[in-house]
Amino acid sequence: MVVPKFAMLCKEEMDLIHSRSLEILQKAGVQFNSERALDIFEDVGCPVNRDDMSAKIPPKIVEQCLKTLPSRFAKAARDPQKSFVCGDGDIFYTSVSLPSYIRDLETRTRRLSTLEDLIQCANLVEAMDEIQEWCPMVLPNDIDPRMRLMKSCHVSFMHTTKHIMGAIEQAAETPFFLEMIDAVLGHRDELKENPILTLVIEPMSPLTNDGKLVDNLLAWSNYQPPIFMQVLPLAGATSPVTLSGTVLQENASFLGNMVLYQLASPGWPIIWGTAGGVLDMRSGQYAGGPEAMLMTLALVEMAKYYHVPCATFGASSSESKGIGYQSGMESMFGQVLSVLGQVDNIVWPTDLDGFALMDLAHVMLGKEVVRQAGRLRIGMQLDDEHLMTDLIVKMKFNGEYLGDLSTKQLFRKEYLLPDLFPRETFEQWEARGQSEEEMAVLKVKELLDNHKPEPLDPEIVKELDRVYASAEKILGG
Amino acid sequence: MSNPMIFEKMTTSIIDGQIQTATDLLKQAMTDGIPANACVQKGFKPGLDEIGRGFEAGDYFIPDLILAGKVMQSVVESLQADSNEELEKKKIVGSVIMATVKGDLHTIGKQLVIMMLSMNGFAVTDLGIDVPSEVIVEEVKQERPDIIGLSSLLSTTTAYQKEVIEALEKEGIRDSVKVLVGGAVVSKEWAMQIGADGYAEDANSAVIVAKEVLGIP
Repeated sequence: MVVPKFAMLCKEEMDLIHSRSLEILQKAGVQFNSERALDIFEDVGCPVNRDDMSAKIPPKIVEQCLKTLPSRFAKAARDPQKSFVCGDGDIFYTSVSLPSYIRDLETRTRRLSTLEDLIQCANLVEAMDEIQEWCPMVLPNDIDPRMRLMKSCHVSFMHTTKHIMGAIEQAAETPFFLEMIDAVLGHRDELKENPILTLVIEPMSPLTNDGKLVDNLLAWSNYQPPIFMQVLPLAGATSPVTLSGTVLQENASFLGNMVLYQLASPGWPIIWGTAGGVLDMRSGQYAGGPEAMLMTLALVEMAKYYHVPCATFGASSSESKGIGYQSGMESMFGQVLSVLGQVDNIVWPTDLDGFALMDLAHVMLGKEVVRQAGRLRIGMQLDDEHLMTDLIVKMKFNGEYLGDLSTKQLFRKEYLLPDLFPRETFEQWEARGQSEEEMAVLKVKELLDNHKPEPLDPEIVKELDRVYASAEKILGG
Repeated sequence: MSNPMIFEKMTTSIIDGQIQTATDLLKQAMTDGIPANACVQKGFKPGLDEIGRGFEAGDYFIPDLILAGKVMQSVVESLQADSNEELEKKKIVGSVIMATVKGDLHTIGKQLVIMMLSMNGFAVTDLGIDVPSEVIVEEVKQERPDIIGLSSLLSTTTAYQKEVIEALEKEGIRDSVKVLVGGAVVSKEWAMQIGADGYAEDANSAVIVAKEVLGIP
């Protein structure tokens, strides 16, 4: 099998980024803003500064922690058939997003998203086999802000059977999350064997952390749920203006934070959400584009250098406000490069307006993007059966390959047949009179109408409801 | 160096963002007996004007603005330190309190707004990031600003923009101050929904909206 591959950095270039990262960690360190984190660093003899809440990390500690960092690990699901392995060479897709707005399926206008929308998103992801991992996709604005994360967690367990990714913002939420896991798995200790949940941590740039989030995650060290670690430097604002300088800063940040969680619990699985943006120098807003993709691809190479699974955001959001040329181009651009970069995990093309607007029609059109980009990864077979030298010689100047048995036998395997985008004549297209967007909306409705939710044991439902209600008393009160 | 030549170099130092060059030129001008006011008006200010004009036209960008601001700040500071001449008091068009709301640690957008407001004659007090609503309200009571600007970059923290407005109402001081909201996840609809007086989608429009709500032409 030959497949197109993309490798941006050579060994010497990766060695350079690694050694400069070690220098940064040794000289500047990382600010954790967490006493517990600093205790962990102090215990292994790292210089700790309690005033600015940072730790300097010597190279030998980094190297030691890289040895305990797993290169592949399980991502379990409520439905065991939907469990998978992260880091085994296959790509899995995640529905990461959290905008406050959604484009209504009926009116096609933008409005604040609600709990009902969140459930609809969960149902759609559940109905799409191409998405392996669920992460809440919109913010339920009609829920008390203090309860939104708990509600998202509740919806996740109730409406999806896939692996779940989520974040914890307040320490007080953790006990309730764990109780929900008790309800679903029988007991939280099962989580280590049956990791149905991935937790997100977002170290900040430059080289710092929200200490509260660090403490929240450290509270889970006994259970070792996979960590999705994303550092989001903004070149020219929170990191150097140069692309390579931003890559270096993120690499150092990943290593420094990785060390904390490996020291806290050796072998704790981490997936590196490689991402970088640039500051639009006119508006002061985040911008993606080719620069973001270049930085991502360099970081993907670094992830492979460290044998740690990695994810890209390349295609998850378009800066376009609506569905059209720009949204399609941006989605495909990120997808193709991520596939060629051979990443482990790609965020599904979910939203528009630079992470601010969810559109389920866009999610549906993403299926075609993912399928076509995914076809590149399958490549082509280069053996006698597929080279077909004898057939070419036999046919000579006669072009009747269409009637040859080999064509009938192999075309389904060789060619990707279009799914959403029909191959039709101009007249057929004109007669159909339907835009891509309208077509996608209908497809979403069709999937949602035909979706039969996997029933959840009534006892588990009762328990999840009870935990949510008790959380509401404490967190919402 | 002749006066016109030194003024031209001062203008260039602002445009190029060269702090050291600017303060050196200022020192030299003082030695040569050029009045400080002339240095500012004929030397440095034309540089700021050029950057401002160029930013509007799309020739200059945010880093050009920031660096020009830094150079100007260092010029002003060294003038004040030398006390050679009383600086012409800048005309204040309004007072603003800026804060990133509770639970939110984002700072860049707020800083850009502060810079643009300051460059346009507003006196700005920065309360920083992760500022609890009660602190903002207390500050409004003490300082009586014309405007408060509330920044929020997280969908989970926009609720605190609402909380501040509600707290102002509760204290009976809502009408004494204009509330402007902004941040990546904030929209005009949200601003209207929570009863804010204005919404600014970026640092430039913050100035326009701030002038609008105060009725400044």
